[in-house]
Amino acid sequence: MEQINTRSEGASKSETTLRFGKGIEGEEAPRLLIAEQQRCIAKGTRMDGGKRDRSTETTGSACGAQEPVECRSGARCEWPFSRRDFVIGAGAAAVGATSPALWSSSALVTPAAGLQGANDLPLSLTVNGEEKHLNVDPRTSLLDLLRENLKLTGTKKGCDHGQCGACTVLVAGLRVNSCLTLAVSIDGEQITTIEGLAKGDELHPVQEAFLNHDGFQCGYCTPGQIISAVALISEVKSGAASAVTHDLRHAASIEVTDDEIRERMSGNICRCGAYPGIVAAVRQACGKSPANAAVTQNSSEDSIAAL
Amino acid sequence: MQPFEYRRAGDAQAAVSAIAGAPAGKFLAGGTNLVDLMKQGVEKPRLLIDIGRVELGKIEELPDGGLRLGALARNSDTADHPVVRRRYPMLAQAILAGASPQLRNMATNGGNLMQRTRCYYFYDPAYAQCNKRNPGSGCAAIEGFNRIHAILGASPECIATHPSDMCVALAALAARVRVQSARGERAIPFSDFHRLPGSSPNVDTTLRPDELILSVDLPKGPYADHSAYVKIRDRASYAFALVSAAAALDLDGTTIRSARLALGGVAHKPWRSETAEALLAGKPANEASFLAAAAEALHEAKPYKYNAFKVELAKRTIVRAFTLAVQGETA
Repeated sequence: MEQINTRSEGASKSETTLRFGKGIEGEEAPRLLIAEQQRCIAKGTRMDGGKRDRSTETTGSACGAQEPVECRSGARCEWPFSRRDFVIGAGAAAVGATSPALWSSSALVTPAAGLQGANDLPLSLTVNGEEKHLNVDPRTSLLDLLRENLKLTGTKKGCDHGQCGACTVLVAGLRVNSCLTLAVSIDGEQITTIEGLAKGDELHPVQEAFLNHDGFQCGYCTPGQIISAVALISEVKSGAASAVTHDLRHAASIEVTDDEIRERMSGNICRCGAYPGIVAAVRQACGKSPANAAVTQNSSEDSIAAL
Repeated sequence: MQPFEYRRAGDAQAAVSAIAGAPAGKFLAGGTNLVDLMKQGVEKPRLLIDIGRVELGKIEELPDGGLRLGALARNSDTADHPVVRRRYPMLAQAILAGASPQLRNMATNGGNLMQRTRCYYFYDPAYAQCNKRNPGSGCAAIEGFNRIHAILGASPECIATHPSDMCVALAALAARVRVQSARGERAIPFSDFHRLPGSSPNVDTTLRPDELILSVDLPKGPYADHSAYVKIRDRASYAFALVSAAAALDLDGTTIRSARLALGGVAHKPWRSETAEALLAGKPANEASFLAAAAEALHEAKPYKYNAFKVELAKRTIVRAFTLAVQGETA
């Protein structure tokens, strides 16, 4: 927990904290807000808890007249525009000013994501328990569908080539790279993203474990890491082997050693190098699976109080 | 990504009918390589025939004691199939040595065979020279940074390697690839499935463009007790092989009745060395025999500027794999 305090002391790094800190008095404010930020990272939500109705938002201009946003911690945020809102706004402006062809050549997003096209195909998915019916261009990746069409931005785009694992989601209970999955190819499937793990304010035990063990620094790879760890637990339970499992011929059950965790999490890269915390978090989560996670609520409060 | 028409095939017959009239069509299974190559602009199919729901996902025992791996069985399910783990542990090891859990959940057995090289000059269309991507344009790797490239069976046209781990074990196990087209079914011996580059490196396999892989069939074999897959790579996990070896022995006490050896990361195809296998038959299962086999397997090696290390690395990997095979996993 010491590491977190250190972060808030640096002049540049505390800037973000202070911006959000308006409305909370005293020295506790930055700490509480960092704890809230970390919770949001583990949940794949925004600082406002994703409660804003995006359909009514103005995203085209940095309109200072917009109402301040209530943060979940109770703090009031004077800067209601996230980096993402700004990027969306800037993108929209670019489309307006130039030809649509330029937008189509964007390397960041599947060209067709979110736009209606002549080749669109109907698609039904159950995402985090909710049925979704959409029409998508067949080129749309599951990742872009989640982020651009469904606005579920907890799932991250890292490399977009199946090399980093930031985009990991569960399809029919199996972890996959959503960046390499064509959305139309999984018509009818059940998808679970980072947003679907917590039950309201009650975090999934794996999310708890990542908070308890500081399993992240910048947080970008975290949703993928957490989803991967959730899948890892069920794979271990089913007896699935890994490259470091001894004696594949006779191994009936898997002993979850740190070597097993590292190998099984190797599809998720962390550029901050938070691996020791990630391994510790997965180790805890393996011993405290969803089935016997009675202490979830308490440990959540403890972890914040400990800050 | 270039626009394409998307169709979903309900069964194998529908799939081969759809591809028969569409030379610019491709089958889509797990998509882990094809979708990536489409994003890169390397693959530009006009038609994608999604075969993901075709009933080819079974793994079943054959009457002759062999095992049939459905073309659309996931790599993860194949590695964890009880019969694969018990009778073909080297194959399970090889699959688990490749990619990541996420990718193995998506990747299929047929798709694994159809993977294309990870040669950086092939994968990046910014390089004009690549005979595999653009026939006749030259090879940027031969005079370029060729650390990951072939040391066996290459040609002046192409020095790319095949990236699969699974296929190295399949080569050593002498699998057969069962395929179907509008003309009917045929079986391709694994050693004939992947090609050497020769003067047409744009063609990776002997699978015809209108053929669909139905299954990979493993023969009954005496190698379950003594086999090993050893993979050497730049990091501990989640990286392609610099060199790998699938080694299997049928032992009579300490004497080798027969041996199998295939290498990965060294050639345009999984490189089975039948001459090294023959050298081991009747010999004692010791380091001297394995060193001799390793020397035989690499005696025609032709390294390039940055990959000379692969020759010695491959020899040592072979000795290591055979040594582990002798010990057996239960040792």
